[in-house]
Amino acid sequence: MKKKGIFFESWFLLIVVGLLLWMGIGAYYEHDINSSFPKGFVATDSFYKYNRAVYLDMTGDNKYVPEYLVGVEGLAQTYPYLLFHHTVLFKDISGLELFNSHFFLKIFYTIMAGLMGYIFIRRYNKYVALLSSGIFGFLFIGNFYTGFLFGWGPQIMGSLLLVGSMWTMIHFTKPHFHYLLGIFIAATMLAHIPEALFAGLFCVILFVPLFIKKKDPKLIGKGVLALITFLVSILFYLPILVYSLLANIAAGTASGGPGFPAPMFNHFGIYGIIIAIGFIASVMLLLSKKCQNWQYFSMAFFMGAITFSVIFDTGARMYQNRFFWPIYFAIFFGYGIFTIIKFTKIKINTKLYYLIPIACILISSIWYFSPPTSNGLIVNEEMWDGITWVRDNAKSTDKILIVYGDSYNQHAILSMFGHQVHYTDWNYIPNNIGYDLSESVNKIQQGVVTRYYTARPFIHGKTNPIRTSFFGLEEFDIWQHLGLNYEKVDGKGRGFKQHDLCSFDVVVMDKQSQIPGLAEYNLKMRNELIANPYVTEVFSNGWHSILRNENLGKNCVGGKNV
Amino acid sequence: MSETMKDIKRLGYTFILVIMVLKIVFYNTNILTLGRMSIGIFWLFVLPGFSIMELWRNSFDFIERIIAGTVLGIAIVGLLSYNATLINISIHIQYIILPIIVIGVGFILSKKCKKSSSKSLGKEHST
Repeated sequence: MKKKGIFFESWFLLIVVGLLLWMGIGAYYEHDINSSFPKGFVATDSFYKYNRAVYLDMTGDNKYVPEYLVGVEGLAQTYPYLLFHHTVLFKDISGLELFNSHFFLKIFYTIMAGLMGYIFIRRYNKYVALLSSGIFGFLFIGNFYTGFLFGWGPQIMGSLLLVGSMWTMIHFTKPHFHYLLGIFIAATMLAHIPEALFAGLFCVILFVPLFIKKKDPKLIGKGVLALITFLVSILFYLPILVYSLLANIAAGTASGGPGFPAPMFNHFGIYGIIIAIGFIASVMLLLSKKCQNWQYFSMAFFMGAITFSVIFDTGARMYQNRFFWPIYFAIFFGYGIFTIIKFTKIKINTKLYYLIPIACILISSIWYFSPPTSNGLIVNEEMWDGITWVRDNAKSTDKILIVYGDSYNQHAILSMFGHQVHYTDWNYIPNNIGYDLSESVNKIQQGVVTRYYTARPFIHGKTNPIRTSFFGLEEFDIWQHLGLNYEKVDGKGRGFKQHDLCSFDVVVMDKQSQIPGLAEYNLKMRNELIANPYVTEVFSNGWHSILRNENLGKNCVGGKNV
Repeated sequence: MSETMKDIKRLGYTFILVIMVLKIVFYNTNILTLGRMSIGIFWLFVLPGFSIMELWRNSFDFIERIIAGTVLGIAIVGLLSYNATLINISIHIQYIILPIIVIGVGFILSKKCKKSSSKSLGKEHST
C-alpha cells in the first residue's frame, strides 16, 4: 500500500515539475532552450549580474571586479558569487550557452524550492503537502515573475537556500544536522546576503524554545559547530561581509514603495481566499492544540512577518522576498483546501488529493498565466551579434563609443561589450539628476553631426573596497582615481564631459530605434564618418553598424569643429 | 536487492523521467542537448547531495533524500567551487572534479557510519 503511495507521489511530483518548467521557461523560450541571444534580460540588474558569470567564465577570477567596469585593476569583488559559479559549471557540463544556463538555473532553483517546501510540509501531513503544491503555479505568474526578468537570480538562489536552511533547522536535533545547517547558511550568504540573515534569525527563533524545552547542553555545542562550519566555508568572504553590512547600515534602507512590479496579496486572485482560510484555520489549529507541530508552520509565519514588515517601512527591498510567497504560504493554501474538505464533510477518494493540486496549477495557468511578450533589452540575435563582435574583436587598448540605442538606458547592458566603453548623454536618462541636455537635443533636431559630444565612460559604482590584507579592506574612490566628476558641476557630472568623436577607435551605432529620429541621426553620423577613407565599417547587420577609425585625431566630420 | 541497489535503480528511473519531462517542455530542442542538461543536473547537484544524504537514510525516505539532497548538492558544489576558484583551480575543470569529491566523501562517510552503527548494534547484542 505504501509502495503504491510512493508510486503515485513520484508521478505527481514529476507532473508538477513538468507543469512548472512549462510555465517558468518552456512557454517563454518557445520550447527551445537554445536561445541564440540572452532572452529575459529586462533590466539593468540582469546584466550586472550576468556579467559576473561572463567574467568568471572568461577569466576564472572571482576575487576582483572586471577592469572594464571600473577603469582600474585589483578592486575587490564584493558581490556574492555562488549563482555565477553554478552558471559556468552548468554551462560547461550541459553545453548550453552561458546566458541560457543562467536563466534555466533561476527557474530550476525556484522549482527545487517548491519541492523543498513540499517535503517541509509533508512531515506534518502528506495530504496537506499534496494540496499545497496547487499554489506553485503562481511562482511564474504576473508580478511573481519579476525577479526572473529583472535579473535577481542571486536573490532567487538565496531564497532556495533559505528554505533549505529552514528545513535543516526543523531537523536540527538529528545527528550531524548542525553541519548541514552551517553549510546551508554559508551557501545562502554566498548567494545573497539578506536571505542568510533571515536564515540566521529563523534559526535563533527556533533554537531558543528548543533549548528551553530540552535543556541539553549538547545543543549549544552543536550550535557552535554549525557556526564554525559556516565561518570556515566563507572565510575569504568574511571581511567583505562585515564591510558590506557596515556600509549598508551606514547607508540606511531605502524606504517607500518597492520601485518595481512587486507581488501583492491580491495578485493571488481567488487563490488568495483559500490562503486566507488556511491562515485562519492554521492559527485556530495551533491555538487549540497548544502549538503542537508549530515548526511546520514556522516558515509561513516567519516569512509572512518578514515580507509584510514593509507596512512598518522596513525597506523597499523586503518586497523582493514576496516572489517566494507561493512557497512560503503553500501550507496555508494546502491547509485551506484541507479545511474546506473536512468542513463540508465530503468523503473524497485519496487519489483526488493528487488531482486537486494538479487541477489548481492548470487552472492558474489558464486564468492567470501568460508568458512575457518581450525578448528583453537584447531585442534579437542581430543586436547580440554586434555586441559580441565588440567583445571578441576590439583590442583592450581601443577607445570605444556607443551612440544612441534604446536599450542602453538600462546602462549595465554596456558591460556586455566586455571593454570599457563611453556613451553619449542621450543614451542616459538623467531625469532624476536634472542634466541640461539642450545642446545634444539641438544637434539631433537640426541633424548636424559635429566633432565634439558630451559623453562619459561606463563605470559601475562610485566607490569600491580594495583588499589591503586578508582581513583588511579600504574604500577606494573610483571617480577620484580616474579624475572624473561624480557630482554635478556647471551642469555636468557623473563623468560627462566633451569628447572628440574623432578620438575613438571604435564607434557602435544602432540602426533601429523606437524613436526614429535618433536612429536617423545615428545613420547620419555613420555616413559622415564613413566618408573618410581611414574609417571603415568593420561590422554591419540589420541592427548594428560598427566603425573603426584608423587615423585618430584627424578631423573626421567634414571640418565642422563645433 | 540491497537498499543501495534499490536507490541506484530509482535514481536511474528518475534520470530517464527527467529527460522525458525536459523533452515535453522543450519539444523544439534536440534530445542530445536535453540529455546533457539532465546529466548536468544529476552530476552537479542530485548525486553529490544524495550521496551525503545517505548518512540519514534511516530518517528520510527516497523522495525526501533526493529533494533535500539536490538542494544540499546546490549548496555544497557552489561553496566548493567558490573556494576552489580562490585557490586558482580552473573553473572549467571543476564540473568534473567537485562532484567526484563530494560523492566520494558521501560514500566514505556513509560506510563509516554504517560500520559504527553496526558496531554499536553488536555491542548492544553482546550486553
